[in-house]
Amino acid sequence: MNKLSLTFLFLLSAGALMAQQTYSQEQLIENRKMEEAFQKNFESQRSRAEAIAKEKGVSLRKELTNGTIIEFAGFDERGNMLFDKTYNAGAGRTISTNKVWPGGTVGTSLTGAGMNNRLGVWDGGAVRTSHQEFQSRAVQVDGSTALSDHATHVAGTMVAGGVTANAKGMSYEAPLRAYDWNNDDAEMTSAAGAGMLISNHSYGTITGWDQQGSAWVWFGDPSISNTEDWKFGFYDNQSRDWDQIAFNNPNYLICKAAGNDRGDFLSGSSWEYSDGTPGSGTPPGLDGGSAGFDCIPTYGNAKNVLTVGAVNKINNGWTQVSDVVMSSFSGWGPTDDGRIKPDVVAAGVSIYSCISTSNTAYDTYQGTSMATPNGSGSLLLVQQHYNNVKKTFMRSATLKGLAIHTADEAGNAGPDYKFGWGLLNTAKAVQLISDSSGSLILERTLNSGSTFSQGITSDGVKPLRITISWTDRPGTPVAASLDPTNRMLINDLDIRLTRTSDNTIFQPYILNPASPNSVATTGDNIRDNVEQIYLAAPQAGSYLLTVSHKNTLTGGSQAYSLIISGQIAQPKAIISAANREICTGQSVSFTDASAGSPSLRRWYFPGGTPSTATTANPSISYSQPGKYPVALFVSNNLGSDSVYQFAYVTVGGQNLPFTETFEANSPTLSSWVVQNPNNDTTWRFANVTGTSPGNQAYCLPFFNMAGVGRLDQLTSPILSFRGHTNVRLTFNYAYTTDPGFPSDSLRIFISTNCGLNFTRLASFGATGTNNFSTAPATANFFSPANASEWGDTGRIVINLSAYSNLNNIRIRFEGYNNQSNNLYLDNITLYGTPAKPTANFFASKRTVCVNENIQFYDSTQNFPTSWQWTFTGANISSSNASSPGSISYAVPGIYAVKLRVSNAGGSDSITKTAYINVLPNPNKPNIRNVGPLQICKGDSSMILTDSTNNIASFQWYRDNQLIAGAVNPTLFIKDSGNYTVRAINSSGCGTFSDALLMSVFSLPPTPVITSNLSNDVFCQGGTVILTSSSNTSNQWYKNNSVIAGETNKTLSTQDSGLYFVRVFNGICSSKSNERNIRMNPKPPTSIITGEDSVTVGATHSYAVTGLTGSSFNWIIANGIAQSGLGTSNISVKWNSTINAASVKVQETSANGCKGDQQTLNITMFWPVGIADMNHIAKAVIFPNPVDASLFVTLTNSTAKHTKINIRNAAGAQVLEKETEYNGKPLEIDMSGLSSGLYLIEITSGNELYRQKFIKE
Amino acid sequence: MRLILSVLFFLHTSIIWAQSQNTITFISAGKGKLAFTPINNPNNPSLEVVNGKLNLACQSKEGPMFQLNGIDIKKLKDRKAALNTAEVKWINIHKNEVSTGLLNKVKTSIVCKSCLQDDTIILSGEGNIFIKKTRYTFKFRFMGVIPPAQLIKTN
Repeated sequence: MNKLSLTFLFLLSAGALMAQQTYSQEQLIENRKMEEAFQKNFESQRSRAEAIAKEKGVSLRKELTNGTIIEFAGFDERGNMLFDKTYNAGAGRTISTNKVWPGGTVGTSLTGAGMNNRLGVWDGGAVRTSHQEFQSRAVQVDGSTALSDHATHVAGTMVAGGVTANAKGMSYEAPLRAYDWNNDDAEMTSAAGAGMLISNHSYGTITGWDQQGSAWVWFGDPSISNTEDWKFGFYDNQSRDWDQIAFNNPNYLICKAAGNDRGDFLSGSSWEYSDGTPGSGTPPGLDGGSAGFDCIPTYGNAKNVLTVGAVNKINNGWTQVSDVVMSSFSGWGPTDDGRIKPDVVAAGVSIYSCISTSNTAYDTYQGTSMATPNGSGSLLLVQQHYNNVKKTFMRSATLKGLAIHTADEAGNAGPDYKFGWGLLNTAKAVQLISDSSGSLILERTLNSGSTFSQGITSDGVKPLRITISWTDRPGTPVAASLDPTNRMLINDLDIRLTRTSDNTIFQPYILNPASPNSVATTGDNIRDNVEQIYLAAPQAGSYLLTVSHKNTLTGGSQAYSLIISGQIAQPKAIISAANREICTGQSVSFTDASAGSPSLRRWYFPGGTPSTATTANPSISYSQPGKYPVALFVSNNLGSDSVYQFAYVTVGGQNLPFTETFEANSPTLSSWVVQNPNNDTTWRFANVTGTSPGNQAYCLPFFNMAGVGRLDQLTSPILSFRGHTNVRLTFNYAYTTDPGFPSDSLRIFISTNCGLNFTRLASFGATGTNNFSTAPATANFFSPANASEWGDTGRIVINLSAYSNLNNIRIRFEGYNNQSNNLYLDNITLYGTPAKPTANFFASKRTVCVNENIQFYDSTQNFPTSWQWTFTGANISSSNASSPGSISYAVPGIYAVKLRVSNAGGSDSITKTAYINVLPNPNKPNIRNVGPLQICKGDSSMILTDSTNNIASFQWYRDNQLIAGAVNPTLFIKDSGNYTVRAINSSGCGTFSDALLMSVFSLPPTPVITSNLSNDVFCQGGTVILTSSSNTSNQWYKNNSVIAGETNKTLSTQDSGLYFVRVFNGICSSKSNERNIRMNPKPPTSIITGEDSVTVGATHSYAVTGLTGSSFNWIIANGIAQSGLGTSNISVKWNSTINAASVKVQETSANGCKGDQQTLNITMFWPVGIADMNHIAKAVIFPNPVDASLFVTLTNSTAKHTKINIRNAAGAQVLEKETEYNGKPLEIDMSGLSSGLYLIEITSGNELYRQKFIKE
Repeated sequence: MRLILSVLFFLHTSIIWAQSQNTITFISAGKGKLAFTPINNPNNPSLEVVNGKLNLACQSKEGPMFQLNGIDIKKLKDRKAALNTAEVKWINIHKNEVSTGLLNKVKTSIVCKSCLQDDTIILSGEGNIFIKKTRYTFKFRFMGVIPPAQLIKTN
C-alpha cells in the first residue's frame, strides 16, 4: 500500500471517529467508495507480495518480542515492499482497556479527561513532567526534583498521551499527581482527603535476596530463620497503616506492586547479610522456595490494597485461560494468614513507556512495577464510567470487587495464589456498570446481628457470579516471626446462595494455604475480605442470596459491596428494525432488542402479515400502503413490559404533501440515494445562499467533472400519492453554464414500482429544454450567492396527475455532464389535492376489563386532517386526537365507537357498534394480617385474603412490584413495604385490594456490658457499676426482671444478681451478655473487750471476736501495741502522757471484705505512789461516789492551812480550794463538775494526800 | 476526693504538655504569622526511617503539610551533624503549592537519648522559606518516637 493509500486510510479512520460525532452523507459515501477502491488495490498488491515473499523466504507478518507487530503494507514507487509497524498498545489490549477508549468496541469514550485530583503515583523519585507524553497533565506535587526513569515510566503507563503511539497510557488524557515516596503515608492521607480515588505504588520492602551493585545481600533475619526472610507474606505495621488509611478513606484504592522477588537467589558463592556481615555456610533458600509461593513482601499483603502481579502481554486480548502467561518474577501468595494475594494480574513484561532522560526518551521495562500502573491507570476509567452513569464514584471496595468480579480466568479454575482472581479486564468492568439486564452493583452496610437477603433468578444459561468485598479494619501485627498464622481479618462477612427448589447451599471459593498449588474449592472463607460464589451452569430458577457475619462486628457494622451478574432482571421492551420504510409487498425485519432476557414475547403488527409473532426476529410483510404501529410485549418470571410504537413502519411511501429541504435536520435526508455509475464526481451537499430555509442544497458540480456524458442520479425516498389527485412536483434550482461549453442537462424521471423502472418526466439543458440557467454564465466555479441567482425561473413545476393515487413512487434527478457549470437543487416538493377520506379505525384491544386502558388508532384512507371520536360510556367521551389512548370503561358492557374524519377533499364517518366488550372485575379482595405488622429483621409475619367469590387466582405485590410465585391466598412476609393482593377472575380481570404496610425494624447492635469489678464479686456495702456499650435506648434487667427506671448507659447497684441490658430499636431489641454479680458479706466483728481506765504507762490486753481466717487492723491512739498486731488479741502499753486514747480495730475477712470498725475509748490517769497510799490513809473523803458535796477529813494532819486540788481523768485541774482546817470535815461543792472519775489532792502542811473518787 | 483532683490536674497538665511538644510557627516580617496548626493526632507529626533517612511530616488543620526529609539516621546515632542534607518542604496538596526552605543548621538540633528504634527524638530548629512569594522564618519543635527502619526499592 503506498503512502497515499496510508494517508487516506488515516483519513478514513479519522473520518470513522468523526462519524461518531457528526458527519455528512456525502463524506460517508465518498469514504466508502475510496475504501472499496483501495481495498481492491491492496488485494492485488498483496497477491503480488505473497509471491515475492514466498520466493525470497520472508514473512509478511512478524510479531516482535516486545509485542510490536510488523506487517506488509504495499509497494513503494520503486517496487520495494513497505511494512507497517502496528501500535504497541499491548498493555492496553492485554486487559482490554483499549476497548473502552473512543472508537473501542464497548462504545464508551473513556480517556480519563476531567478526572482532576483523582489519580496519583508515589515512586522512588520525581516524574519528568515536562516529557512530551504528559502535555502538562502530570504535576510533581511535592516539588521533588530528583528525576527518576522508573517514576516517569510508571507515570507514562498510567497517563501517557500517545505522542508516540507505542507508549500510549491507559488513561491517556487524565491528570496525574506525582510524589516521591518520602512521607508517603502522610501524603496519601492528605491526598485521599482531597478526593484522590486511586494511587499507584510500584515499590516495596527489600526482602530476601537482593543484588546491591555486584554483591548479593540477604535481607532476612537469621535469628528468626536461616532459610526464609520472615517478611515474605507478613502483615507488618506498614500493612496495618495502609489498611488504616484505606479504612479512613472509603473511596480511595491503593494499588500496590506484588514485588519481583520470586526465584531471586544469589549468583556465585559470596554473599552477605544486610548489616554487612559476610555470609557463610549454606546460604538461605531462594525467595519463594522451590515452589515459588509466599514471596510477597510486607505491605503487599495489606488487606485493603489491590496487589497486582505481572504477566506477559496478550496483544489481541484474552480469549482463553492459556493466553495468560505468568512472568518469571512476579510475587506469589499466600499471605502468612492464608489470604489470597496477589489480587489480580496485569501486563508487566516488555512495557514501553517514557523515561526521564529527556522529554522524548522512551525505554522498555518489565516488573510488577509496570503491571501495577497498567491496572491503576485502567481502573481510573472504570471509576470515570461509573460516575458518568451513576453521578457518583464507587467505594474502593466496590472498585476492587468489580475488578475481581470481572477478571478473566487465569491459572487454576477460580482464584489461586499465582494469578489471584485473574487478569484484569477493564472492558468487562465498564460493561457491567452499564448492564441493566442482569447485573447489579450494591453498596450496603451490615449491622451487627443482622442479615441481608436478596432473591436471584437464573435463566439456567448464563453463569451466576456473586462477589462481596469490604474494606476491613486494620489488623494487629504480631511480633516478627516466620509465617505466623494469626488471622488479620477483623470483620468476617459471609455469603451463601441457597437454591430454593431443593435448599442446596452454595458457598464461596476457598484456598488451602497448606497446599498453595491446589485448585480452589468452596467452603467457609474465614480469611479474606473478598468472597465469591460462582455457578458456571446454574439450574434455572430462584435462589436466595444471604450476607451475614460471624461473631460480633467490630464497630457495630461493616460496609460492604455486592456485585451480581448472570441473574435475570425484569425485562424492558425495546423494538428495533433495520428498515422501517418499504414499498408495498416488501418486508420489514424486526428485532426484539429488549433488556432483561425475556422468556416470552408477543409482537403485534396491525396491517402486517403475519399480524402477530413470538420469535425474536420476525419478518413482516405489508401489502397495503400506510403507516403502521408495532407493539411488543415481553415477560420473564420477574415481570413484564410492553412498548407501542405508533406509525413505526411506513409502507408505500411518504405521504403527500412532501417537502425536502436538504437541511441537516430533515427527517428524510438520509433516505435520498445517490448513484454514481462512473465513480467520479457526483451529487454532494453544498452550503449556498439565496434559498431558504437554511443554507444547504444538493449540488452536482458539473464544473469539476471530467469527460462528457457522465450520468449522476439523485433518487428520492419512496413516495405515496395515495389519496391525492392533481399531483405536482416542484423544486428550486440554480444553474449556469461555463462559456464555451454546452449546457449540462437535468433529467427528471419517475418510478411507480419502487425504483425498478423509471420513466422520463422532463429534461432540461442540452438534452432537453435548452438554457435553463438562472444566473449569468461564468468561467468560474458557480455557487449561487443570492436569491436572484436562483431566479424567478428557478422553480420548476411538473404535472404528475397521471400518477395520482399511486404508491411506491420514486422521483429521480439525473445530471448529464457537458463539463459546463454547477447545478443546485433545493426544496423539492410534491403536493396534490387530497381525496375525500374513508374513515376507519382499530383498537389495541377489543375485550377489556373494567377500567383497563385502550389505545385507538386511526386507519382512515386518504389522510384526514381532523378527527372527531365518540366514546359513549367511556371515561373520555370524545377526542380530537388522531389516535387517542387511555380510554377505559367503568361499567361492564358492550360499547360502540364512532369516528368522523375530514380533509380538504371532504369528510366521512364510521360507527362500529358492539365494538368494545368490557368485562367485569372481581370484587375488591380484602387483605388482613394474621401476624404482626411490625417485626424485627429476620422474623416473619403472615397476611392473607379471605376473598373467594368468582376468583380464579391471586397475585401478591409489594410496593406495586409483582412478587414472583406469590399466588396463594396467604403470604409469609419478611420485608418491609406496602403489600397488596390482586384477585383475578376467570376472564383474567383483576382488582387490587387495599394496601397493608409492613414495617421491619433492624436489630440494634448487640450491646456489651462491662463492670468496675474484675471478677464480678464485691463486698457487702460496696457499689457495682455496670456500663452498657450503647449510649442510648438501654433497659437494665436483674434476674430476668426489668429494673424499673434504669435506662441509662450505666447502672449502679449494691445487690447481687444476674444482670443484662437490652438495647431497643423500635420494637426490636438486642440482649447483652449476662453478668452474674455476687456479693460477699462483711465480717460481724464484736465489740472490743478490755480495760478502758488505765494509768499512764500501764499495759493492758484488748480483744475482739471475728471470723476464722480474718486479719485485724488495730489502730492505737496514745499507746503502743506490744503484741498481737493483725490478730484478734492485742497488748497495748499506754504512753506516759495523758492525751486522748483509744483502741480501734477493723476486721478483713478471708474473702477481702471489711467489717465495721470497732472503737474503745480509754481514760488515762496518773499512777498513785506508795507514800501517797500512806497519806491517803490519813484522809477520808465521803461520800464516794459523790453527788453534790464532797467532805474531806484529815485523820493525821495537824496543819491548819489546807489546799485542795481536784483533777479530772485527763489530769487537768478542775477545782482548787484553800482553807484552814479546824478538824471539822471540809465541804467541797461538786455540783459544778460533770460526772466522771476524779483525783483529789489534799496538801496540808508538808503532807500530801491523794484519792480517786467518782462524781455522779 | 483530694487525691482524685490531684491526679486529674496532673493528667491535664500532662495532656497540655504533650500538645505543646509539637509546635511550628511561620512568621513574616511584613505579613505576620502564617496559619499552621498541627493536627492533634498521635500520628502527627509522622516519622519514618526509609533507606537510612529519617523523614518527618507535620499536617496542619489548615491543609498544608510541613516536611523535614533526608536526615541521615546513622549520623543521628553517632550524634554527628545529621542535618546537612535535611530537606525542608511546605506542601499544600489541595492547592498544588509547594515551597522548599533552608534550615539554620546552627540553631537546629536533634536530641534523642540513644537514637535507636523506639527512642524518643526531639527535633527543634528554625530556618527560612518562601511561601507564595513571601519570606517566612519558621521555628519548630517536634517530638516523636523513631520508628523501625524500612528498606524499600522499586519493583
